[in-house]
Amino acid sequence: MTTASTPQALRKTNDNQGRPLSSVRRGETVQLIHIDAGRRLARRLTELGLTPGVTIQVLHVNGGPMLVAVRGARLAIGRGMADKILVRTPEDRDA
Amino acid sequence: MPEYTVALAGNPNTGKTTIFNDLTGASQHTGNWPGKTVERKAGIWKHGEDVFHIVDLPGAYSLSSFSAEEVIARDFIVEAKPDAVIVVVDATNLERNLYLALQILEMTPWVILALNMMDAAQSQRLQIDIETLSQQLGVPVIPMTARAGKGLDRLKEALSDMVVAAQRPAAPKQARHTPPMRYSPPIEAAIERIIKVLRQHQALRDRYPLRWLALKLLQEDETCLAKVKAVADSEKILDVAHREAERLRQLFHEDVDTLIADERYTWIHHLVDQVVQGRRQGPTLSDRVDVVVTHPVAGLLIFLGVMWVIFKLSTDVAAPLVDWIDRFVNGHFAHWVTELLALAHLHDTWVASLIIDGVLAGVGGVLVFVPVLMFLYMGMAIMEDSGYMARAAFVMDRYMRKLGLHGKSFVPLVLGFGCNVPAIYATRTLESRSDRILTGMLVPFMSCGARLPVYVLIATIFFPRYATVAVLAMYLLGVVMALLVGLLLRRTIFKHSEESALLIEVPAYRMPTVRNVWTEMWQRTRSFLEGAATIIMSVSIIIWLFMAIPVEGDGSFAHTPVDDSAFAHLAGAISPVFEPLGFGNWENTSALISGFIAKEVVVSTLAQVYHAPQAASAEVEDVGFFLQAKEALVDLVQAIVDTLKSIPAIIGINLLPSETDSEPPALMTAIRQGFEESSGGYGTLAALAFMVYVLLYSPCVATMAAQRQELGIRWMWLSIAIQLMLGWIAAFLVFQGGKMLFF
Repeated sequence: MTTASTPQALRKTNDNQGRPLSSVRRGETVQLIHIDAGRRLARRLTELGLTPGVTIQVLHVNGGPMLVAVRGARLAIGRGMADKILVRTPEDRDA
Repeated sequence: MPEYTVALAGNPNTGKTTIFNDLTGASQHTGNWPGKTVERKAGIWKHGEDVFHIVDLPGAYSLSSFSAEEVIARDFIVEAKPDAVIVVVDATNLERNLYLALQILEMTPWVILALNMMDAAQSQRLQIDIETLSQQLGVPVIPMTARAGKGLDRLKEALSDMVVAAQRPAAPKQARHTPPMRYSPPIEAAIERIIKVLRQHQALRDRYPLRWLALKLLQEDETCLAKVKAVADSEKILDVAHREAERLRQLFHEDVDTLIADERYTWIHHLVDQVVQGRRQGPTLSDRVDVVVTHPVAGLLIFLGVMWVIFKLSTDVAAPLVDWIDRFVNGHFAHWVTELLALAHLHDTWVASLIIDGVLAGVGGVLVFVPVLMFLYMGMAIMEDSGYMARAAFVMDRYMRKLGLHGKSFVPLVLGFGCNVPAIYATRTLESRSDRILTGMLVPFMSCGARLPVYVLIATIFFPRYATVAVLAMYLLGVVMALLVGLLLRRTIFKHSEESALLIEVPAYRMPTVRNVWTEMWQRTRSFLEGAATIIMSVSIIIWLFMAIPVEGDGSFAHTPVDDSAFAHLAGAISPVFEPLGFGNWENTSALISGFIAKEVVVSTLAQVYHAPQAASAEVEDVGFFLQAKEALVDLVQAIVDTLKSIPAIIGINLLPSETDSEPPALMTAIRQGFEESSGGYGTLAALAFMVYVLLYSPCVATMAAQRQELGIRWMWLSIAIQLMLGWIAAFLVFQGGKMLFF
């Protein structure tokens, strides 16, 4: 019903690739699809630069939280939050 | 004399504080924002005839109404309409930092961008085209390295130029101001349509930048909706805004918030691509250090090591200075005051007693905290300024999450083992208010240094062979209680407060500057002195009053033995409360009452009421003022030397001769007898219950004062109530349970 470029559509057409950020292993680079959280939390994450399509690199995972690189900044994200951030492996990594 | 207001805004960790300190110097003063517990810092910069009031806005990543800090910063820019806003950005982290700058540019045209940390940008080989950046944003951009004082003159110059320009009649009005960035056509069209209805309202037109307000309404921002609702016949505006937001949702299948943030970041991304050359993708030096520092095992060990050092600094290293202050206030200084009183023929009167035993004792009680606090704040400031604090939060998060708190709360809790007072103030570093309150309520369960002498005395009397175990057990019990109370509060009072998940920026490591650390340390210590001094002094004087009033015997006011004083009678009246706990006699109760003021005095009160020969209070020879002053000075130098000598003790090297102070055996026997009598023969159990009670009931008035200042008076009372109740219940269980189990 929509073009494939909107986040929802991405999530639907790539069901097998949409997974929570918390499942991403150290050193991996992923692309954000959608934040599946309440409005306040979603807004807060978005304003820190976690917008649809942005590249996220997981630097360290420490049992609970994870340390990621987004838009040149480093963010520590708690596990509960990382569960709500849906990401996928970028297809065209070199582009 | 023209006066201007300048706001200082920026993300946390951008060097905003350094610039604020440089601009305002010694003129700064701190307080709270009206009706909020958010710290407000302001100061003055004088330039010729002009006076600039510089207001340091709370550090924030954006200006939506997510937190109290963001609302404060936003309201100040929009409603107080400062003559200029300096936005401090980190040159090495432009993409994220420009987000806030862009938001501010939508509110006011009078912005100066302070492009700070140019030294770090240079060492990362980043080349920033400052002219293009300035053109694209439409505001002056000043490259700076604030830590080294570079760029400050140019910033001042730009500031003074800007306020002059703003005075010109041709200067753009805030309401008509057009920001540098345009959104996609559908969003711009929606903004236009909302502005059209907004413009019909004079009250809104005069007060707010309309484009900004339209955008906020489109985002259905709660505080802005409320502001508009307050205006007469605003239904139409809200209706239009709602319709436009709905239309955009239909069109993009995305929340308006996300759409707008996305478009802003896209715009910024292009801008940064255009003006910054040499951006690298690979790991930075900080990233490489973090491999170790944030490692689950190594990181934990490093964190515990850092905490150990800070803990040691605030106890052992500060100890000689604490002792010196105690000796000075109660020795030399008290002596001088006594002599002065004698000159005024007030010697041996109640006035003398009030001044020496009431006021001076209170002053001493406040001042002894100063070295402890200064060392603690120094440690905290270094942790913050270097960027380590964010790593500590990251490492501890998995453990603290079990308590419903996030990693940063661990720092105040650990500091609580040294002294609860700075630990409460350390909760200020937590972003969410519910986290600050919950953490501040748990701090008193951390057994502070002042409780230790009580455990040691009681344990040596009653369980000489297991003294260490008994003392350690108290510390553990405190932690267990904090866990239980934390879980309980999370499930009840804080059930509906937002989930406290960790979400913090981890800044690159930086060398802390002496100036920042010193300013931070001094400001926080001063804030303690101002806040806590009143309450500690008043309580000290009240206790003195009760001790001075004779109730029986032939003593007169201020000349009465403790046993005959109102204090003893008050203690006697309260003591039945402690009877079920095994230590309900007036002597023990007196110690607990004075322990309510400060745990430091429990032992001395016990000694006083059990009539043991007291250790002579610092005897001062009568050798004249100057000799004494010299003596006090020599003593101070010795204390500083001892402080320096005790620094190696942090890693286990002890340069100081070990102290051998044992309590007089007569006191021990008397206390033993007292407990045996009050408990009906179960002295040992009663002593254990007493230790548990000392651990759990409210730590001291200074802690209460700190709680009142940081959490508010309601939480202070709740905290006190919980501690008194919990202490009673736990001591009751120990005493009565022990009696049932073992006897």
